[in-house]
Amino acid sequence: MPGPRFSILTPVFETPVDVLAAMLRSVRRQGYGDWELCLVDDRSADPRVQEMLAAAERDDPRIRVMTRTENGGIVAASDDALAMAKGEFLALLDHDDTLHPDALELVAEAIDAAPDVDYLYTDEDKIDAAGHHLGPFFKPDWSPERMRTQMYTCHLSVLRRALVEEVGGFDAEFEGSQDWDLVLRVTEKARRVVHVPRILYHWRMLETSAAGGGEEAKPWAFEAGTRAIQAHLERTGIPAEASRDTEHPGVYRLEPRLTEKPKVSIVIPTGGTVREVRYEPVVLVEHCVRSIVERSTYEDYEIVVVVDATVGDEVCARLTEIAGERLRLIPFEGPFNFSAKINRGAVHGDGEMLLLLNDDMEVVTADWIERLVMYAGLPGVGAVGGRLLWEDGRIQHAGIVFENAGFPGHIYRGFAREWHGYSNNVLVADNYLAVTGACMMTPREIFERVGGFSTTFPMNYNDVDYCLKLVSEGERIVYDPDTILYHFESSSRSTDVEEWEKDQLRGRWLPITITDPYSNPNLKYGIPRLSSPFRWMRRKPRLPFQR
Amino acid sequence: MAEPTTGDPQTTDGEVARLREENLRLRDLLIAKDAELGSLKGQVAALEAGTARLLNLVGRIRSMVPGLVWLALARLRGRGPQG
Repeated sequence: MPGPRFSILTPVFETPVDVLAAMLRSVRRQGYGDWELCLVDDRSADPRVQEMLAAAERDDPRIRVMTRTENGGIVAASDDALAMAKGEFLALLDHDDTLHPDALELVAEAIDAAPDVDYLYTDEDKIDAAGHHLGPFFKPDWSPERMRTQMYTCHLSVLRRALVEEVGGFDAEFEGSQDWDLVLRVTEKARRVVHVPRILYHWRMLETSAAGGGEEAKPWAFEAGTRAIQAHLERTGIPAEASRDTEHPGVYRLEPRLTEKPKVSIVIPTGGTVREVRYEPVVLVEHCVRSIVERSTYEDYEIVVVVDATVGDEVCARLTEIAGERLRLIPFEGPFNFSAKINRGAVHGDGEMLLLLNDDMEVVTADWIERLVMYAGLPGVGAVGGRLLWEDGRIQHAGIVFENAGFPGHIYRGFAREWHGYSNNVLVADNYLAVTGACMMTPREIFERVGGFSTTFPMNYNDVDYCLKLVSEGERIVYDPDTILYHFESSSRSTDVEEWEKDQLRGRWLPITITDPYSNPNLKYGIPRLSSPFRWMRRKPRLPFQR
Repeated sequence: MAEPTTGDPQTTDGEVARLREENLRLRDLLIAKDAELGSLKGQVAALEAGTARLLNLVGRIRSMVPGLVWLALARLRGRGPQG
């Protein structure tokens, strides 16, 4: 069966001739033959550019060149290239970058495997002035929440032409971030998005490109990014305002602007543990509830504390004193079962949203509930977690990934607070297969639909199992970097995991967790594997008589 | 499922909560068993595919063996009178 035709769209402007030649060479060397290269010269002053383009057009009938009558900018040139395109899929290639020789072939294979795909993206790396490859970007599979705070799909992007035309092509209002805007508009309507986990695009680091010069090279592009996200939020009805992280180029934030503020039931199971916090012994649940009451700006919430029989009356009295009318004390008797306590608290609350919280937590960000409500209210989102820090400031939780044949682990556990992650993924909202139950918001309707926390996991993995139930039901799990809490971990429950717990988790969820879609084959717990440089540039294996 | 036998609101609330907890437990059981069943079906399919591959290999080897034996015998026979 023949594969699709690709139209490669490449606006050209003042490109150094050696760089332009490399770009043209990389297209001609594609192992997959059914492509057309739509080049639009945006009035380059250098005559050698025009000569090179004309020669390329003469040499290969698949290369077509259009020269604009006046300089119109990248959006106008891209729209002209789009008008020239006749292929079923559009591949966006910048004039100074190159494609891996297998790029179109591997994308065509991905399309063949998923015929209803409307948008595909691949991994990428950079090329420095000396021609060395560096900075590989190994990406996760489609992560809608990440796409709203970082243009992570970037290069190579391949879009179905019919859908691009349906959404109106490139928009001049977002010049500099026109790709991001286009991909957002396309993915709002896409039936399927596919990630090809291979480096098939090489982004050249020139002083004049965002890859090399960063924010200073194209400040307007980063501003346009904010506007592109904002337009997306308005189109999709997400109650938030986009802003740019000025310290980390390419990182954006969403600030909640809630129009509806549902009641939140904060469920806290406790055994009344006393522990030192900042060198002072405190009753953890009192400390936790006090921080909620004193720091939260959200108004409509209740606190359901599920108390063991061991918790003294004086602790309950102090909790009532701290939280007043908001507090509900629910007794729990019987053997320790964290899941049963969570479920008990949930059925005694009446909030539309459930916020499950360990008793060894301390709120840092005042709008933490607003932030969690913002994400938990999105269609398709089943649970939301935040960034948790140990008392000394190191990272305790920034999402959970599955490695070693389906075992969960916290990404960047123990890393410094300042660590912004691989490709800034600690700083941007992201999707994971699971987040910790130490702080997790979930809509009550979904919690009840999937049967809450499984009491067959009394100690460990109950939160992971809960998230995987949601994933199996088609829900997404979100990590929000700007919901920050301290977690005085390991005081609320044992951290030793029993073999039977591992077996039970794998017995249920191995088909989902064996290959974590939100990680990448070249990453381990969020860090590039030592073996990845050897796999990075490899060609597709071929038999001797092939090419 | 028994109806509450008393009109006392506290007892009724307690009973409702208990029933809701039981509802959660049963729903969880349903999803978990479904997941385990799916996982087992996957394992069975993988094992069957592996078995089919091995059987295919065995068949190919067996089909080659008589040919090899015949070749060896022919060689021996050919060498016999000359040797």
